[in-house]
Amino acid sequence: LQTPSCEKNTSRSLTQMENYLKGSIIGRGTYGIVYKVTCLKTGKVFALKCHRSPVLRDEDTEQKDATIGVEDATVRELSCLSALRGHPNVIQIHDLFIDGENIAMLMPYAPYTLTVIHNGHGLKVNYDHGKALQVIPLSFVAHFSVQVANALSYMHGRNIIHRDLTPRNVLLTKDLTVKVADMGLARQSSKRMSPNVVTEPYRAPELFGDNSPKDYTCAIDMWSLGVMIADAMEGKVVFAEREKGSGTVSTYDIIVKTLCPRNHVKAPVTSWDIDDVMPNVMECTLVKRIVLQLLTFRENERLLAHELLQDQEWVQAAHMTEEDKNMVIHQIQQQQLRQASKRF
Amino acid sequence: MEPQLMCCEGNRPAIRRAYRDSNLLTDRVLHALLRAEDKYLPASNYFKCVQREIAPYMRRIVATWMLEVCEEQKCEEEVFPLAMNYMDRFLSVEPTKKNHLQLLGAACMFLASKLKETIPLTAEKLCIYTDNSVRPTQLLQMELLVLNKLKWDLASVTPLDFIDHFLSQLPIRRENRPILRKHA
Repeated sequence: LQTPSCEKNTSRSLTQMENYLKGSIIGRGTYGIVYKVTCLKTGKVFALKCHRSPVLRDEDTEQKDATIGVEDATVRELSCLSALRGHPNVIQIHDLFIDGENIAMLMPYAPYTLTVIHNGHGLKVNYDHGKALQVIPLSFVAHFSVQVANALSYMHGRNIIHRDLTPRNVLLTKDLTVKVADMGLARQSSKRMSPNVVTEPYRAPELFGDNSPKDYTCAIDMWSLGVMIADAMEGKVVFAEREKGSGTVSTYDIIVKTLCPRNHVKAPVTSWDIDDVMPNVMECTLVKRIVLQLLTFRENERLLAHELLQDQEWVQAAHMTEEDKNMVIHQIQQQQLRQASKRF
Repeated sequence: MEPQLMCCEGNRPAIRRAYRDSNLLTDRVLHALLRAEDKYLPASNYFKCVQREIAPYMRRIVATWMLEVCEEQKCEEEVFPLAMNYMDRFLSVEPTKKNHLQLLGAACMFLASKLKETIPLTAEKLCIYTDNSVRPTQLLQMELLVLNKLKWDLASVTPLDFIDHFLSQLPIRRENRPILRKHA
């Protein structure tokens, strides 16, 4: 049996990689590293995501991952991105390289992420003037949530669940268009799915708990979206575990105490007032209506992506003026400056 | 729509199972699936137009072998139809030697298993099933070749994806659905 020669056939080889100049690291994770790269021919800037993958490793090495080949996370991310190709709110792949042991994806460079919503101020509504005095405009909150819902509606329609929707994975272009990224955990919905998914503060209540099978559906992505809207209103991670009295209260306990209905089997003995946990959300009637429909404890009552897009009032609130956009971009740049100065 | 609870008992108790997602059983999703299916269809005439050495009976032999492996390894039910889809799509674009057909089948199962299973098949296990006529390095090379030829577009729509949609449209009692599904 002759080995098929695949070197000449694989997408791109190292030589084409040399057309790109590797710059600073802009992201790091279990999957690998994301670099900012510049094309030497055109001067255009891209993001290069390098999956660590033991491709074609020596056969006789005793390592367990020696015969894994292309990692399943890579296979899943790339097949999901191929299936979703062409959607304006999902990140696109320009090119694919096999660089030694790495598989590298060339993607457009998005300068901002949604982490700007954790600015510590949130959105304050001044009812005296009937006009919002805020650091992040309400239109931006509606804008990003509608665009994320757009991407989710498309994904869910293709049977794909993102499973790791956090502000870090929602990228923003220069003009604040949302690009949902990092599909390393995304997969086609299937009968057997691992419940250990989604970064903790954005994890839906049905994913927590004991070892019993988890009843989970594409509604887990909608929960994450609801948490992101609440985060944006409060300016912080609302379900981050926190110190209270002598002990720590976990994300799950906070969720149960604030959102679990009284007639539910998991109803807590003492519940917290939701007005204290997310005061800014509760103050604004429109946001309150949306957030409470997304953060329902029972996942079968949760709003789905295409239903959110049918909410005319919310979609209309998503119109951003130039002034609003500049305000948000200014905020992001301030935040990036603060982070950069912290590093030195 | 009533949530349906099905198939929660695993063969391998270490794996926790999720339930079927009834949110995905709407007409909207069905139409999206039908539209998407076109993208993943193999050419129906590849034995005539693309392949020189490979005849339909060879595909049948390899397919039978693949089904046996999937059943013996208790793979998820999606793995086999998905692997066949990859194999047919590969054969629709790439003239292949007949002595590479089993290697191709193994690589397709390898990939389908990675996409669908919590604990995927290993290369060694697959090589043992070929009676060691395939080495793990060859399998990994073939994997890359398949990925490249299919342009990484692996989230195929297979006939299996439609079964739950059709079942949910039929006027049958819910407790009978799992049995009917098994025979579909």
